[in-house]
Amino acid sequence: MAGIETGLVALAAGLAVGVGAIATAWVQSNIGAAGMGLMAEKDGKETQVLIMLALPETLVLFGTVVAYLILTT
Amino acid sequence: MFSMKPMSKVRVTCSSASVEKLVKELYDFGMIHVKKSKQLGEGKPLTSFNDVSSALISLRAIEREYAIKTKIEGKELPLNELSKRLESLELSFLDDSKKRIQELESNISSFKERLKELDLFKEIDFNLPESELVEYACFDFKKDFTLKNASVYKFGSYALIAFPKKDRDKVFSSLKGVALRFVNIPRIEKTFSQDYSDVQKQLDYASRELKDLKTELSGFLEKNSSEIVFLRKSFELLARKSELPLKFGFTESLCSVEGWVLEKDYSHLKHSVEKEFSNKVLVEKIDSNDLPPSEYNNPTLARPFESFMSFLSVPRFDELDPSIFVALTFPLFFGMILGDIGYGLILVLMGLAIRWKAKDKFVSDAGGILTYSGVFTIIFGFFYFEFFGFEEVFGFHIEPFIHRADPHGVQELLALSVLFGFLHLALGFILAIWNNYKHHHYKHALAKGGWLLLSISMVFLISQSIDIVFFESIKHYAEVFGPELALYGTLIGLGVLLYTEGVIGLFEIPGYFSNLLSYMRIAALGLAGVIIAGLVNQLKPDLALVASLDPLAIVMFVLTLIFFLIGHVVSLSLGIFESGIQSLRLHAVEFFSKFYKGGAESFSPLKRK
Repeated sequence: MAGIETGLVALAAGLAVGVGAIATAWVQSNIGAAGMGLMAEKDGKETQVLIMLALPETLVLFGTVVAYLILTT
Repeated sequence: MFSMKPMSKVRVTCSSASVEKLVKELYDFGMIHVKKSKQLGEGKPLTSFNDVSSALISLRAIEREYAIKTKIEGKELPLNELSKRLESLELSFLDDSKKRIQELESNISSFKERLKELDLFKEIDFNLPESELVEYACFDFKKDFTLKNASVYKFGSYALIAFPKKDRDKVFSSLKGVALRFVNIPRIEKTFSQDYSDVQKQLDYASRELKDLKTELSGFLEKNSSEIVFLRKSFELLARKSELPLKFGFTESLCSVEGWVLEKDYSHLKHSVEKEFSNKVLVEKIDSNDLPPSEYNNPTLARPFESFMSFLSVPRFDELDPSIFVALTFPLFFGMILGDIGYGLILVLMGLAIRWKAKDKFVSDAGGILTYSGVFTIIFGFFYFEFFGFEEVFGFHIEPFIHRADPHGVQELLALSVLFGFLHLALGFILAIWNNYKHHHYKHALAKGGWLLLSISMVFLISQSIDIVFFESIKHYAEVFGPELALYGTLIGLGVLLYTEGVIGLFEIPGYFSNLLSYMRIAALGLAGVIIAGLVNQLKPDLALVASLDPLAIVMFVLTLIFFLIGHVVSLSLGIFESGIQSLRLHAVEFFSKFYKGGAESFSPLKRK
């Protein structure tokens, strides 16, 4: 049976992805709502909205990297 | 190749009486981007503008009202011909029909209302004469009854009674415990049954008329919808022409137009206009401090990425056009993220199909970008040796350069991503030096040079402590030149930064590292993709189930196959979306922030040839 250390490592990895994902979701929901408003008001802003939406994905992606590093080292 | 096509600003001046002729000439020439003239007085449209715009308003309204979706191109035809064709359509039929349909629908709804009122009484074949002495009532009764002071007519569970007005109270008090609910008696003209059948006839007649009218209307629209769309589009072409002089400058006797033409087209414009006007026109090149509109100048292979650049932000005339670099690095990052031979093949086929079928340039270019990305996905697919997430292709397997599902492989991929990021950012700095040098902004060019030197030296320094295969070559060079060189490079870079950008420059160093680490998303997304594809592959259908010829096993096989295919479609869609958007982001945020301004106006001539 795995020890408490293994559990803590798994928990840390889970938190790294989970918290990153929650943060990304929270930010993207705000950006998404504002972006839809912007696109409704002004034409030709789709690119900026798309890029802005992709920016916070960094959080969950780095979370994934960190989780992987935690699990493998 | 790296800059926009050279442009000349021209001014054409002629008599204001010849404005129509000038518009025709400019449209025939086509390749001119007309700007609003700052010379002379306000512009005004051609005299035909009112006729054209009123025709357009009515045609657009009809298209919207009847949701006409026919696809047909317009044609440049003279106004009188278009007007004749519009008249012969007899569109007043649509207006008349619309009014009549509204009228009929309102009648039908009131007939239905009336029938509902009469429905209870439709079997009664007498009327109720109006009298000052007699009153009538109708109610639903719960038990049989008799009334002394009233005449009673029973039908079903209802009763219609007539009684002298003076006995009202007596009648109603004797109805207590008998009448459940009183019903309104509708006003009638003849008898109840006759009124009912009259209204029914009117309803049938109106419904028939409505149906016939709607059939006639849909027949009219079916017959004429393509002509309506054709006329609308042709009138739009005319409207563009008649609106064009709004951008001209006018006096009572003169009109002048300014615009940009490709430098190579200037003499052609001059000759053709002068010839048409028998030299009673002045066509001249003018000096201008305005930024010319941008017209790409790339080799065929890089052209699909012009739409990509325009989607982000059009490059300015006075800066370097990075389309050709993006044509290499966007598919590279895309392929590096997705990296699968099977998915790559599908992308190439999809891209070619889109390119083959698409009529719109933007869609066709998207097909081209997908094809390039697919090719790089196949190349990296071999690099990771993955085929739809499996590590073998029909039983054939070769050892991958990087094994993405292996912890060591992931670390190698992370390092490789950062290495590519380093090269990408270094390219950004080189392009920034080029841009600034071209504009004689030597201090800015020096600052970007400082950044380049600093980034290379810092990566050399860091490489000493990293033990990953892709950094070995960097480490090797660092050792050849000696670790001191990297240290000196860092110090010189810092010095240049301090000199050119001040202390603020130093504060931006963490920003550079954040940009560099941002490229780790390539590995992270790749890893996520591999895990998803691996999960889907756990549903791999087993052919042995079919061989067993057991019906239940065959159903299981089919179900698994469906889920397997759906899983891969989802995995591929996610892969395309994420690889595309993250690769786009790496360009728009990390790469372009080093050198790119953009935001220019595209060269939009009156007509492309």
